[in-house]
Amino acid sequence: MFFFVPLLVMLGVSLASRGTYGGVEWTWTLTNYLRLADPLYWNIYLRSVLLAGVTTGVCLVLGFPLAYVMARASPRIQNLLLFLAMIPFWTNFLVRTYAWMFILRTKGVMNTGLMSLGLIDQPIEILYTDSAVLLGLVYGYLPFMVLPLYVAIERIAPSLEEAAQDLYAGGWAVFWRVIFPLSKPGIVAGCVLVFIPSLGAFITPHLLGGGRSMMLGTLIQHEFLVIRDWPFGSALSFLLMVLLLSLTVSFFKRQGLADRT
Amino acid sequence: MKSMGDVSIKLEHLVKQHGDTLAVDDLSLEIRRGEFFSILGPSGSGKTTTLRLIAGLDQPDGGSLSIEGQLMQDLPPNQRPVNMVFQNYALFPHLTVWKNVSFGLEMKGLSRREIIPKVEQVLDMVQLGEKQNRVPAQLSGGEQQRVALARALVNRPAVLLLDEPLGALDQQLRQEMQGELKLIQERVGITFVFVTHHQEEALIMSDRVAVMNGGRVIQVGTPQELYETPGSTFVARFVGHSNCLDGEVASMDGTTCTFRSDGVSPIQVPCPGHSLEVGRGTFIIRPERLCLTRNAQPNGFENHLPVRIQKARYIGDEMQYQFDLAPNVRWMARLPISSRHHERFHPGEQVFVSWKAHEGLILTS
Repeated sequence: MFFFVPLLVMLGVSLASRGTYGGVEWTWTLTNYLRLADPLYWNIYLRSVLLAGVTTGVCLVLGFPLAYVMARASPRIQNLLLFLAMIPFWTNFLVRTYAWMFILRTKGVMNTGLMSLGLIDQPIEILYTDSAVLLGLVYGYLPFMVLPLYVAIERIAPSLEEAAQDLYAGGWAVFWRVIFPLSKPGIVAGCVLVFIPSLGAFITPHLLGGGRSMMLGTLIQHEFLVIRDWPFGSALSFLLMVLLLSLTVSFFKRQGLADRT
Repeated sequence: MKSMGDVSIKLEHLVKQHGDTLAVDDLSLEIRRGEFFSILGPSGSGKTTTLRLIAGLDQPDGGSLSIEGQLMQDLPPNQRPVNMVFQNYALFPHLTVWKNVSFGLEMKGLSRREIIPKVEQVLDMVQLGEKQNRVPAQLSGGEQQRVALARALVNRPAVLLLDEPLGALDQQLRQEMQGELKLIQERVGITFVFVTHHQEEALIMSDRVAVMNGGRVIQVGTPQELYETPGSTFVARFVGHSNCLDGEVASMDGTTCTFRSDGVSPIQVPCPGHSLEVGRGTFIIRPERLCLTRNAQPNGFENHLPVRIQKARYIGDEMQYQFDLAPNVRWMARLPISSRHHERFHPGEQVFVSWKAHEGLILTS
């Protein structure tokens, strides 16, 4: 109910047209969906997918060793690390994003710190760039990568690594031949959990990107609240949803196939 | 190499600490090439740790270890000429039987042409040729055990380490595999180091056995040596069942001595000569060396004591009778049932236990 009713309303709105002063006029049309194909927006789609993809990749590369250390630590350390991984969730995401702005701004904590240490002469202008958005996204979604990875790796018996070592496998071979294939379910789950919200992210690109680098999420917000074109905003939202849904389904389908063979 | 003689593995003063406890405490052992060597001990005795030290999965805190004359210090597990069969097999769940078995050969960098005949041969040996495309989850416990064995043997290691490999199998399969394992070992001629807490298993399969307790080797010997001449009450109790009696050697008289214990008539025991002094000790005798009779007349056995049967257990091929030789000294006698009309004794009955003096053994502490 709570999921489908707003969805149906949105579908309805996306098929309507925009009134002169931003209202919704109930004349049925498909123009909103045709407008999606406008090259004007291609850039934004591409940026969004690219940024979300890079975020996912960075999270995976950073998250895997973290999750591995967590999974192989003693139970007491494991609990402590899990606790630490959860701490960010206690603070509102918006507040944490503002904290990043405070850190990254030209005269922020990072730049003054590095300059007083003499490591840089000029402040690094990173706020309101794609790098800042990427940093924010990675920061925000890393726990969503680490936790499923941790669960998957923890289920791999350490004796399997020992068996591989005993069978002449070096460190990399143990990883690629045993740990990596066995943690695939965690990798897929983690990537889905990071990619999807990154693609639709709004707060991070809005605040850290300064609204200059638009992503799908910011575009939707823009259409709804700034341009007040609800029908087109709805159509965009639908596009995003269909994109994510098809991605997720294909992910899990492949996973299912991999499990069966 | 030649100067090493036939020693395959040499452990010298090995020490391994786990937290505050010494898992392995100044352990020295020599394992001969081609022998089936068992390490027997209760859980926590350090036997698995010893095996892991040999495999390189744990690093010793002291002492040295050499395999085939080569020092193993600082050599990681993937560079040691040993392979291990893990307790729960540790088969790779995502790989087929074939891929599991070929794993080691692939890691060694052998070509497919070289790998195929080797894997085929070893799968034949463990009779798993038809199941080569299954994954471990589709195999029975016994089959998984065979895959684990094949995966290790295919590499032709100098030494095969087995960590309680039969522990997860049911009794019948276990006995089958004991025979099979022994047969395979004789066929391939590889040194087997077999860790178990199952004394019967160790006796059946091994050429020699090391009994461990508290991180130390208590005694090393052939199964017969351990059973017939245990060096300590620990070995006497752990390897087979033993009846024990604390007391003192009272007098020596040529080839026999008299052993006295409170509340028990003096017992005649053999005197091995120099090694036995007058003093405190423990008398030991195996349950199957005892006779029970209703006849009060000594039947030519030197020892003949009255006891009252406490418990009688019917095992099928034997009867087990429990009785108290003295307060708090419970003994057991095992009498084979060789006929349906075998004489039975009943709880509460007054009988005589008798044995020949030379069947007993005195251990001085």
